[in-house]
Amino acid sequence: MEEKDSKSVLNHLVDITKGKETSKKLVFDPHTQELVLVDAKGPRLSPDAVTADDPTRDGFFSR
Amino acid sequence: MAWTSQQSARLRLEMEILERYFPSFYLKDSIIPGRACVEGIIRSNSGAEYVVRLHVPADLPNSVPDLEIVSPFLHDRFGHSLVELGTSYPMHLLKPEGGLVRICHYSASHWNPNITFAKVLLKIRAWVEGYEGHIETGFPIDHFLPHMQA
Amino acid sequence: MEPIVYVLDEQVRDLLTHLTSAGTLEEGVAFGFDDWTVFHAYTEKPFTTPSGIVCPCFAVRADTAGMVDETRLTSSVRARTDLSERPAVVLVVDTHSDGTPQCRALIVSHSKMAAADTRFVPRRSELYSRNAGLLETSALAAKKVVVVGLGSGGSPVALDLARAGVGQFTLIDFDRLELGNISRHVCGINDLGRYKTLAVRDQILQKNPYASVTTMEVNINQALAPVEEAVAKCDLLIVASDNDQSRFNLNQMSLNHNRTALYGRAITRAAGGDVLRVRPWTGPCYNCVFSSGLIDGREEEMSQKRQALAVLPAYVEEDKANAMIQVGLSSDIAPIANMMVKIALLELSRGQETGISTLDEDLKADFYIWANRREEAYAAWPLMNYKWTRPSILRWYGARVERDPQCLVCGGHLKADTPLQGIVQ
Repeated sequence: MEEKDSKSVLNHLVDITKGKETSKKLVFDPHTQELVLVDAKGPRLSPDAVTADDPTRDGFFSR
Repeated sequence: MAWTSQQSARLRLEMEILERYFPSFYLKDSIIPGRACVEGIIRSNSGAEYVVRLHVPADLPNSVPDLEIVSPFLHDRFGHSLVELGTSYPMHLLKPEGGLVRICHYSASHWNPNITFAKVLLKIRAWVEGYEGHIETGFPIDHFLPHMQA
Repeated sequence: MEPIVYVLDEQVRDLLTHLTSAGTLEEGVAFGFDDWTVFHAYTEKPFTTPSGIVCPCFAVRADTAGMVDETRLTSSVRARTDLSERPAVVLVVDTHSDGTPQCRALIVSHSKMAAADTRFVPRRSELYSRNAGLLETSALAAKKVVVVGLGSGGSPVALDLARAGVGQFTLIDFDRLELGNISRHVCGINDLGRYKTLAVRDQILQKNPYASVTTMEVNINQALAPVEEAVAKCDLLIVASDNDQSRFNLNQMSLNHNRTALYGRAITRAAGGDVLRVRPWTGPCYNCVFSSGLIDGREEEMSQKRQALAVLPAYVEEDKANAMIQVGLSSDIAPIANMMVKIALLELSRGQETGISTLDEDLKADFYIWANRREEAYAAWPLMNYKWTRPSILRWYGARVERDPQCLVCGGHLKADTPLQGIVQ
């Protein structure tokens, strides 16, 4: 099931930040420019959707 | 100094990828190495729009591009300007330049030439969501977005 | 013991060409050591960092009979310089009947004059005669090496290549030699404050006075064009810089000009290190190996604050940056530098039959890993003991790394001839 409301997305980001295992993953839909939560093992949202989970999990850092 | 042929090809590739994922982004004003930048709009899930500028490094693709939010003028939940906040660990901010907020995204020690502008913008897309989370909840952005290991 | 005077063969030859009349005194400079028992005499500006105590030096040509009026010569020297504190070296030059140059030295003090044992520092061809059989030294003399980074890793590599007979160097670094560098560097206290490039150049010339050494005191990340020009002209690129940005830039240059490159680095506190050989377009490039995690996952040694600040977030205090500076011992850097030299000599001798050719059959891998101690990335390695069939400290391991087809640098994803005109809005 897809979720794209801000609260769900933010909760997922908090889980990532805490290093928790998640059953969902965040993908970026280039057609709508939205971040969408999908089942981690489910089918892709669309052929063009890319994971936003991995770069987010990499973390943020300054030079 | 001009772009080398590899850099020209790389810039073309970057723009092709952006066309697919962030189609509002375009190469702005100049193609001179050191002055070139890519600008476009990132839209959050709430529909708010942010104009984002990515400075193309003169040694493309071998160093981390600087990235700034051109508009809107960003404030924290408590009304303070993010520019005045300066360098901020909890908000993932670098020292502002030219009155614009700069976002820390990749560490120099984790940068490699396989990282494309689109991947950087994907991080900024997440930052924007984290920023709105901060405005909504008051938690700093690093509550939503982790720090990169040194 | 008769004093010994060393003089460069080439300088005597030069003297013979321009000292046409006997009796004319040409001034030079000498350096005296050990109670005036050893002197180094120069009739041209010394090209190395001099040491010893400065003494006057004069050169004179013998007359057509090969003679010189020593009484007159001594008076003439004493009239020109004060010899109360130190003696003067006088070089009397001439040619043998077969045309070869000869030189005898006199040591003139305020009270006496004595003959010295005069020795030539030989011509290039004789300098590396001891290497003959192992290396083709005449071929190496024509080889051009670019060395980027003249710190504790790059400086011994440059020096060892000069020792082996490599004749042409371009040294690139913008750092100056500081007190903290000295214990691990080939240069010493007498080079403090100097650019590392110039100090290492002098060390190279100590080993090979006929080497051609050019230097560039630039940050390569901010001087891409001149550095690329140097890379284009070299036979081998040695990368011993301390940051990935410079390595990525140099990687691109080595691919652009199809120049083999060697990358060496130490990890934190020099617990170990690695050496990568990039054979452009036939083996993995630096980015292929970096992306494989073999480099990115092993934290690089931080040897100075500038290096730490470049990778630390802007909000980190100075204390943290200082704490990141954890250097290893010179003896822990040495194996890495040594491996780079061996591979460098192989690459520079490629195509020639030399005494080290069999090494080429062994060094098939492009990426090599070395551990000095069981810590950091090697903490889980088994004890060395008596086993040699499992990973151990103090041994080299070649790792098979393939080219990465996804590599955006060498994977063929960039379309050639893509003009940028027309894509600016």
